[in-house]
Amino acid sequence: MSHRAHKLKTSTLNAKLKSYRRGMLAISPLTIGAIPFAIIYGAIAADLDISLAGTVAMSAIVFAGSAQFVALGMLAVGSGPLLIIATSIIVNLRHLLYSAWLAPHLASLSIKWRALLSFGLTDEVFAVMSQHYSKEQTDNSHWFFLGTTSTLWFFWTLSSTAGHILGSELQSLNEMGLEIAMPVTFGAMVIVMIKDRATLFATLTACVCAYLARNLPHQLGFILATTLGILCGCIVPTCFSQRKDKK
Amino acid sequence: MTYTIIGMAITVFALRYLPIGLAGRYRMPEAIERALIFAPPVALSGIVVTTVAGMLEKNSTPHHVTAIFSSLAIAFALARFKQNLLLPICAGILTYFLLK
Repeated sequence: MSHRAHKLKTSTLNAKLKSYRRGMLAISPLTIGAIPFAIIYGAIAADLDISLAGTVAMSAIVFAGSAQFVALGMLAVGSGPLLIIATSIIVNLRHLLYSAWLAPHLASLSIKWRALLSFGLTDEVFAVMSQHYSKEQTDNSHWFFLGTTSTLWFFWTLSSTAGHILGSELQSLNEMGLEIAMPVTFGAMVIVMIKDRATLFATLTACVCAYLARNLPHQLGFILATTLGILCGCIVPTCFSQRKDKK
Repeated sequence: MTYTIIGMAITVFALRYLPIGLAGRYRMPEAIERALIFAPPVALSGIVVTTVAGMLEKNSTPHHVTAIFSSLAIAFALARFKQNLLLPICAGILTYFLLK
């Protein structure tokens, strides 16, 4: 290999690693917020006499916090696999929306890359990636994406394991209030995203609906809030343009 | 348990993969593409509201309520004026722990 080709290969690799590291950094505040949840999940699984292998496998293979908690609750009352699987579909319907939003940005990647990245598509990852793609899209954006998913996956699985092994000793983490990291981070991201009237109305509608429907089972309130928010966002520009036309 | 985990893994992955996997092969209708522009702020704000409501249901002492809303207010104000994320997130989390 010529010196020039070697230099080019090294700089490409460095750019990929840099994007990967940026992804790791971008997800870190949300990872801190996710760790207590993973520990609690592990501790509850241990209480329910679910084996360590089962607990870790669910975190590592399913990698969907809310679905995992719902599954534990259903296992505790003796629900069968089919009912648990059907419920996990409803709980994770929002991922369909996330995936649809990200799809155009990942269209140029190979099937392997798309499968790998979609495996790690959680709320936290979507928050970071929607922010990333709204600002920039580079040749190495998929490495940034991989940095976010792999970091969150690693800490989620590790914390679930720790929660299962150490159980109640780590449950005091729950009282520290680390869950504040999620609303603060997501909220700040939303504020940056609001750039026009339609987005503002869509966001406010979603907030009000999410609050009013928060007690609906299986996160149906969330699905209702996002649907109504998006509808409101689509309708508002039409209303304003009609009013302008009348004037 | 094994079947439950495998079943959940397959269905959750399918939900996440379907639109991404089909991207490029099928073009989404323009109306849906336009509607999806609102997906990030709408989905994230829904999560913020439900998480905060959950935190308040767990502990609604005046001290805790003040800590939550002050941290959110500081984070939101900084995000609005600075248009970046690191400072608002750090300031918001720090405010919560100081006031809690």
